[in-house]
Amino acid sequence: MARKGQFGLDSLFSYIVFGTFLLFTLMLLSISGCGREKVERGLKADAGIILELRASEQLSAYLRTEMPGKEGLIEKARSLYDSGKEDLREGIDIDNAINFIELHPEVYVGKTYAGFISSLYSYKDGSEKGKLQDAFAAVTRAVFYMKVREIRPGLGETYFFPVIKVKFDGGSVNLDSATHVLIAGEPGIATKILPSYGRETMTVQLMLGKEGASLPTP
Amino acid sequence: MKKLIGNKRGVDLFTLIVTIIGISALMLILIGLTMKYNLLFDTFKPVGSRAAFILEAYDDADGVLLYLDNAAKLSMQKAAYDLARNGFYSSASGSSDCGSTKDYVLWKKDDVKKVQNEQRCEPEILSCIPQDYYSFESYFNNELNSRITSYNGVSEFKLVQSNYELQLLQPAVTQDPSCSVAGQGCETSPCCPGQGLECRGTPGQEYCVATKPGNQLQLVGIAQQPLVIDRENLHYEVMPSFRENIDVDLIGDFGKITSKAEALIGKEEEELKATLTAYNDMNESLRWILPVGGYKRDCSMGNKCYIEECTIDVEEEQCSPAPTPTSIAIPTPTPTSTATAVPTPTDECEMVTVQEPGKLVQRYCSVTANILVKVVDDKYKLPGDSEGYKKFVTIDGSGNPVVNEYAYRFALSWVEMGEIECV
Repeated sequence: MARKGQFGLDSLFSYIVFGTFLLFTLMLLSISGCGREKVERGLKADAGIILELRASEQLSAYLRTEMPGKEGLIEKARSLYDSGKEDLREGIDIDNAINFIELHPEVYVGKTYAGFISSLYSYKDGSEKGKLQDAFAAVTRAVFYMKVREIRPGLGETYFFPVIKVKFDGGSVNLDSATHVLIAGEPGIATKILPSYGRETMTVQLMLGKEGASLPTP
Repeated sequence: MKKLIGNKRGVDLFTLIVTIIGISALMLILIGLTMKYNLLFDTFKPVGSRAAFILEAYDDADGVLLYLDNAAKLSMQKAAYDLARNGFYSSASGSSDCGSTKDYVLWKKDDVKKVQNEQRCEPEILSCIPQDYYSFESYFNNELNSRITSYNGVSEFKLVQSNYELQLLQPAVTQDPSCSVAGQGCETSPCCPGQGLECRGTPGQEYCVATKPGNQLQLVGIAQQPLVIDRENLHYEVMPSFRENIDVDLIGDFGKITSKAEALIGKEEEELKATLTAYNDMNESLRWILPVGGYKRDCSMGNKCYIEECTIDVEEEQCSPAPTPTSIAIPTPTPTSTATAVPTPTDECEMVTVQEPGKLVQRYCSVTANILVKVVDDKYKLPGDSEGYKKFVTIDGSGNPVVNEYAYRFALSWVEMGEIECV
């Protein structure tokens, strides 16, 4: 035993036991999720899944949209092109597009956007397949374009239209609503299968940017 | 031990050993627990992952339903097109008892047979005007099943074939009796709103004209088996039923066409054309057309109906031979400059009437008229056209698109009885 006022061996052991139990307690707390990293991991949502779900819902909404009539479609496609907005006219031969729209009302009259895409299948190997890409891009932009924001007063506006790709199964022609993708970062991608006027299926893909609206707010 | 416990220093040693053993045991437990929980943490998913996982399953099911909706709509359009093309029958040939011409299913075909106990023949009328439009369902099922096969080939989720109880409907159009429908005058009462009608014509003769297609066709498919999405710890089922509309007034057109077809039978070509023009003037969004070469009148020699045996008086020339000379002197040829012709004896002939067995027949002409009924829809009007017709695109054997006009086709065949004669 230590004498009074001395630091004895039993005191040392007591401290060691105390320290060990303290360590043990802290480690248990850490195991149960009190660490910063684990707390963060436990609370944050998987933004990737949410973004893909959002893209999927958005694509379904686009595909269920009723197509406008011939006059409305041609007028809108032409006016967007003539507006001079580079975002909207890039990569489109508008004369090709309007010629196709005028001659083939059967691809969009009384149809949804999905029906329109399904109808285009019939022309993928025909003599007018060269006009198909122009018609698809022009129609997609005309139906779904929207003004996003004015970047700076006087400098004009930025327009948004969805980046939609169509792939015909069993064919070499693919359609694209945009000539290049302006989506920053990793996009949310949704793919849907559609029937065609033939017997094959076709796939439609939407790429959606990781914008603020796509992330959940806790 | 006694020593350890017994002296004062031994107690300290005991405490030391117990402490060391205790700490070691605790450390071992701690290490074990840490390893176990870290392993557990690695399998932990972020908060909401489970919910997102379920939402993903819902979304996948939604993708399948989206395909099904579109496949059902396309199948309806193709079924309506094929049904119209085959005159409401289930195939171009064979399904109508009357048969078919080259491209048209016959709705009427007359045969000719002898009337019992009478010396005449009469047409045996075979009417095949369709009584319903239910063949639509067989066309639809074929189309939908083939599209389901295509889908099941590329998707991890499988739709069930022949899985539907189908119900064809015509969405009800609320009609106010005080308003005028297509073809009715609109001077005193306005055209019924919401039916795509416009008041046209000259003052005093104004009537409602359909500028848009009328009613739609609605098909309800009630699924009998569910769509199943099976994943780890998740089993999700949804019944893939559907309700789809297409812009074709199949039921209305069926009534209009079948009720008017009978009146076209037995008419001369010009009279038939005049009747079709009158139908077109009724402004029912239908255009009745007799295609070029669509009216054929066959009065060939083969078209005769046998009645019975008969005898026929035939004028025959009967000749009695000239008397045969007993001997003919052969003159010795003499070298003369000119030969003299020797007269030969001639037969004596006269016309007599004899009776020969013949067949009593009645001649007839066979008339066939091919009728095409297009559906007016100005949304399909091309530049330069005065009127637009509903269209449907198909793909030919070499993969090229063919834009077809949506049209009801049928043919009528009847006979015109002629003279009875013994031949």
